[in-house]
Amino acid sequence: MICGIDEAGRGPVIGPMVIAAVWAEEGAEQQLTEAGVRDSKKLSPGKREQIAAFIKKSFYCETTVIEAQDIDALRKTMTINQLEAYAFAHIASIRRADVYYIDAASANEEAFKSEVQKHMEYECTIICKHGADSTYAIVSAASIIAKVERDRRIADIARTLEKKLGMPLGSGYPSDEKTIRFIKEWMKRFGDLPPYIRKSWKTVKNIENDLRQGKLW
Amino acid sequence: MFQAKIKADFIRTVIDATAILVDEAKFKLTSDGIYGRTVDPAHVGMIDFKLDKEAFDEYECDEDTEIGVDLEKLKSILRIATGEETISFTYAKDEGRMTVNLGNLTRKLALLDVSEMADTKIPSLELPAEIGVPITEIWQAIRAAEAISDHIKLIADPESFQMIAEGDTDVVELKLTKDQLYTLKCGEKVKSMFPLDYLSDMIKIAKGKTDEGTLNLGNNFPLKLSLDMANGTIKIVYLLAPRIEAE
Repeated sequence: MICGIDEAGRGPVIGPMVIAAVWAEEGAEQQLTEAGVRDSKKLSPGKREQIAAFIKKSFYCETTVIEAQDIDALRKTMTINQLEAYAFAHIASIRRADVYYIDAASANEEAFKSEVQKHMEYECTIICKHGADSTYAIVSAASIIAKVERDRRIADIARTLEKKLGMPLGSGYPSDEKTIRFIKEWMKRFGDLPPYIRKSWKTVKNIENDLRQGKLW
Repeated sequence: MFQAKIKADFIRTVIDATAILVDEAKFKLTSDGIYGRTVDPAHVGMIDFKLDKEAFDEYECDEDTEIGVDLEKLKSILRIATGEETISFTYAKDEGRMTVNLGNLTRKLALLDVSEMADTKIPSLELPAEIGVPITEIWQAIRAAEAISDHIKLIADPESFQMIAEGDTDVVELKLTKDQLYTLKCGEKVKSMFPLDYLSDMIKIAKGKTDEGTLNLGNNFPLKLSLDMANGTIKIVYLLAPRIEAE
């Protein structure tokens, strides 16, 4: 039994981080590839939804959603890498597999692997690589499940927040000008941060500082 | 026609002092010295300086002129000179370039179009408290505060001057009583909060060049920091907008 684990929504300043795991018998890679399973970033949203439905129907999947305020709370005592490793181990332990394939994200491969192993409830083989979501179809499958769930959540969040402010939310990433403008405008109008936002993100602290700074004229 | 010779350190001081706020600045060349008044793009920090002709070894300025300078370019030239070396500047009106001489080295520095550069006005401020502070102690307080916060509160009352920075868990406090200050003119207690990065950059300009700085402070008003250097031939005034105190 093999298992692929990946996440979506690690970097954004709004919304939850979603971890997904997909379990399959060894040799399922071919079935997955034939069904069009590839790195989620290479698929259109429509195709992603379609393939996600197929994966859920054909294989055992699990998702864990870590809400923004929980990310803030957990980051008081751990790094985002440690948080991710813990969440990966947690989801992995739901069903035993012989080999776990995980994406190392931005962490050092060896360090991330041992961090995950530390939290695993039992002995197992872990293959931890950068770009695993492209290399291993089972990880691509997990990345698709994670991304689809994250997209669903952020769409709901966007609907709620946009209705209240009357402005587009943007992608939710710190590099997105639309998102920054949204947060600034929300703070100016309502005097507080919008819900679903990651208060511990430097982006948010910078915006808060900016708004608290007076001008000479 | 403008021609001037000055110790590298002196010109470097006003250029560095301006460069903490902007990348480009307009300077006024007049018969009694060089003036510079600039505000940063965010309108948070402002400098108003005078580099008196007495600071120069030689100074000649036939008519008032305004020049626009790329500060990084000028700094790169100044970087080559040692503190005591003399630099000479020559400029003919409408020439478009300033000639800078350092020993046998000549650099022609292209100037910027001043018509693109707006005049900076000084906001009129009533700042009730005036405090003459020892720069070294202020600098130490700022350095200590930077480790825990990005803003700092300045408080003056009739008996003392305080600087307080509060982080999530730690606090830094500097207290100077009347006898530990050069001057203290304060009727009622006043306090304002300021961004540490700006304040640090401003005090750093003073460090090593003058022992004393004069602060004018109000309640949630901008800060005025006056620095006299090189026997009063370099006068720098900084204005810094306050931060709104968080609840």
